[in-house]
Amino acid sequence: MRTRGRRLLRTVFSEQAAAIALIVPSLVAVAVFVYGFIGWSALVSVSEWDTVRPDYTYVGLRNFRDLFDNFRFQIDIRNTVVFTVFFVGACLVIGFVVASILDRHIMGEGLFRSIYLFPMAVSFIVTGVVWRWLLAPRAGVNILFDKAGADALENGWYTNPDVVYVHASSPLGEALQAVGLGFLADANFGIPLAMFSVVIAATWQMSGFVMVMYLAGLRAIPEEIKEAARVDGASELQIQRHISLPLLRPVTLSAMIILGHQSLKIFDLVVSMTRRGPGFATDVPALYMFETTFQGNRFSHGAAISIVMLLAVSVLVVPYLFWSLRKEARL
Amino acid sequence: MANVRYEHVTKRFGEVVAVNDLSLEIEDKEFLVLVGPSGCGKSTVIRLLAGLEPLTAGDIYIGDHLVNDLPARDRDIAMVFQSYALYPHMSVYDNMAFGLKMRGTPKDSIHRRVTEAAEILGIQDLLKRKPAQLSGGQRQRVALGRAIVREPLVFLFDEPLSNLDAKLRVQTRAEISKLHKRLGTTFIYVTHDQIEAMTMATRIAVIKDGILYQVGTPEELYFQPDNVFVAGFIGSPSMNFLPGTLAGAPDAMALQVGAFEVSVPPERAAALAPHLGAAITVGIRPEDIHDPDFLPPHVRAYPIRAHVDVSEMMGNEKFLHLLAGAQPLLARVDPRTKARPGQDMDLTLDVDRIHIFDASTEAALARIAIPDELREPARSDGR
Amino acid sequence: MTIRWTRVAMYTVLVLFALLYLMPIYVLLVTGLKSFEEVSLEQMWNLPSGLQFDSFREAYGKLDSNLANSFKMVIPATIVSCALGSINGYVLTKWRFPGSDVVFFLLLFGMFIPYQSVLIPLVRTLQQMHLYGSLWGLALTHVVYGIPITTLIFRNYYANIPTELVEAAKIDGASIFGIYTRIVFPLSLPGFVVVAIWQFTSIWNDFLFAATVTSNPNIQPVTVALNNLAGSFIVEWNVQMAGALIAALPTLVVYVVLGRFFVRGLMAGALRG
Repeated sequence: MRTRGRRLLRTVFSEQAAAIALIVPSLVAVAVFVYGFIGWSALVSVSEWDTVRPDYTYVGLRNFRDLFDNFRFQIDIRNTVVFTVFFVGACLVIGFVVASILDRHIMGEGLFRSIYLFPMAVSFIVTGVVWRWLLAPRAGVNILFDKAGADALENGWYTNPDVVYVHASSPLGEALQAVGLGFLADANFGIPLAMFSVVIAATWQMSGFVMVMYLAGLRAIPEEIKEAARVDGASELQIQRHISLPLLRPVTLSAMIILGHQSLKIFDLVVSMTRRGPGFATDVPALYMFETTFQGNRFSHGAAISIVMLLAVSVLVVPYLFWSLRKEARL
Repeated sequence: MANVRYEHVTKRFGEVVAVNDLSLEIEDKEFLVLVGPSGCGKSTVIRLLAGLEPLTAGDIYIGDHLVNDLPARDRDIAMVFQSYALYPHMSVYDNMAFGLKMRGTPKDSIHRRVTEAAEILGIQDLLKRKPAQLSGGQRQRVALGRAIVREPLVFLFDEPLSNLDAKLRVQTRAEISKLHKRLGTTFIYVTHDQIEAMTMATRIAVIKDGILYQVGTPEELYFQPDNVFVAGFIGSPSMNFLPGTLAGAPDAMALQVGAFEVSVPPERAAALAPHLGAAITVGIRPEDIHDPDFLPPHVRAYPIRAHVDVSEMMGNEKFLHLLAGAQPLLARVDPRTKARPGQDMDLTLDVDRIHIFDASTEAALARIAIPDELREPARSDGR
Repeated sequence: MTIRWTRVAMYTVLVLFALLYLMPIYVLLVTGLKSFEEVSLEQMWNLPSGLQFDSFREAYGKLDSNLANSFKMVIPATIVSCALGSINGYVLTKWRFPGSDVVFFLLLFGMFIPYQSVLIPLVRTLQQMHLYGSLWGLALTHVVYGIPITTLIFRNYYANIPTELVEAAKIDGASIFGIYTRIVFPLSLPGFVVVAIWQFTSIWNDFLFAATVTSNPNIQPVTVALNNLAGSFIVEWNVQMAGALIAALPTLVVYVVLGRFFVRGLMAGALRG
């Protein structure tokens, strides 16, 4: 009987071993290609590798300091913030509004859903190529405006170099200076108008996704709870505000994280649509990194940019992954 | 005045008729229980009243106001749902305060009413918790509390006890009855459990397939069921039904049910005379079949003989599964009975508790009388 | 009857948005179907007089080898991706070992990283493996970086297969491989469809890796070729538009035909169980 026990133990062990063996190739691949490479990039980022030949001389955080002092990188940060805020905001609002409507027994709901979602199937490159022509100053939408007599709406779109910011001499600027926040009254903290073109194209591509998520979330709210609210005396609008919206918070959070991490690393769309734009108005860190590394051969600087991008994404994603995996474990 | 009136109410869902020409009047301060098998339409009946479904035909009045086109939130009705339907993201306090908040009730008034209701239900210590942190019984009380604070004209209950375990159910039943007396508001309660109906209702309405089969006090339904369905539905374990014929001569009629033949008592002969020769169904409740050794007093006994198949010890009584010839019977007898499985034994039927139904129409013929002690005094206090 | 007005408003909003979303496709089609003589920026929005395929023909001529490259790279990568994802998902849900949650977390994070942070080492490594500049190197890249999302989708899918099935099989004496081949794999078809569609679309649409790993225009997939086409000053804009439509066609067809599964992959990745 002891041999049977021992055989059982051996089987259990060998099964565990087999399980681990099956998954090891993937683990090794990810360990190397993700974590190993990240480490390697980190190494490069603190090195002096600025030419075609690798040079791993350690220089501390000098590259990072240079980066944050760099005019172009500062603009990149501003552009990323502006893009993220407007892109995520627009997607959330449009996604929620459309999903709310679709939730109400609409004829042809399937068709509408398919139409809103199809942009997700195409590449950002295709999106960029198309919207570049749609928002070109002498073509596309401007022509429509002209024909419709809405000349005032015509503008330079992504060729517009203007940046909207608080001027130091304006009343708001003086107020900011009074509270010690005078540095905010600067073009570095403004909104580059050209960026809106990119926001429009990106929203076109991704808002269908948010809509689908909200639709699923709305459908998950038990009808009985809404009925209880109705009997309690709430109007449909009050139900939206006090019941549906709060219950959709997890969806909103997920959407914000997913869209947010995409907007931090946006690259394809900018490459095909506007490139860096007038006065770097649509430049983004990913583009800067690519040009610096593969066209300028300044590998250490490119690596530094990529590490900064990685840290920014981690701040967003790691807490979220943690929270979401722990929630699952608790269920 | 919070009486409720259904007049020829019909509700159709596509081809399915859920409620079929229902007319029912519920008086102010009543505790009316709508009871029936699953899927009989009873939930639909109260949902129509709540305004959660539109009517297909007919009219509904609350306190003499026609409410057909009134939206749910304007009907001044509160409802306790089967799954409680508590707002998961709000605390117990906010759950209870929600309805009042939506109507713009001032904050101090809300606070007063919520704390009062919480005290009545014993949930004052739970006010800050969220529904996910409560047990089933606690959630049920919160659902009740949410309804109470509204001080509505009518309370609706949609099978509120079905998600509770048996012990909690018995406890909560009593509490709901007490609540009804304390609040003095009209209660309309839906359930598939006839025990709940019998124990809590002032009147019971039995529904099947969307049709109202009978309305009456628990005593009326128990002693004087209008038809086979109501007779079999009310009372647990349910009534024994024996097919037979109304045989004999007009002055000496007898109920012939295969294994035995019972003479018709003279006070019921007159009502039965027109049906002489007809096929009938005889009904006798298990509690009206006795072991002759333990016969309660004042029972007019009729002896029969049957074979004992199975004997179940219930503690305070024994259930005997019997065979009278080929006819199965269930009897509830004194636990001291000497009946043993496999034996034949003598039993007595309580002649005054024999129900007679027409076999084809299933309608009751010649009802029995409600015992005097159980007769309802004329209602004066509005209980 | 006030209710009817809100319905009208709702449908108006939906149709308006639908038009906005379809606007680019309209422009793409209309432009692509015009003859060379008809094409002009001012007439951009006008319908073509007939169906001329000049622009398509020229765009196709420029992109055909790149289209083939894309197919050659995407299909093997998708197949291997699916296989890996399935096995990983299987192991992580039915054969939990100590630390499988940590492993899963580390895998998932790989889905979110900006690929810029691995580009430089990736290039060096592929060069050393003599895979740099080739479609195989690109396929390998996509397989490796696709491991997190494919594992996630299969894991969520397999979590819905009751453990009792696996336990019954274990009692019957099946090994870890036997359970996979005899129980899990036959039930996996919907999962494979979702992952295949998702990976096909992602890999086909990728630009960053394609532009980094392949530099020879003859080897590059169609996304990079399209971008070069569109960035060139000598190529007519109508050819660019036709090219964009051609490049987008495979994934669009997949979406139209198998859209349901596309959505499921989306939701799995987004909602994480």
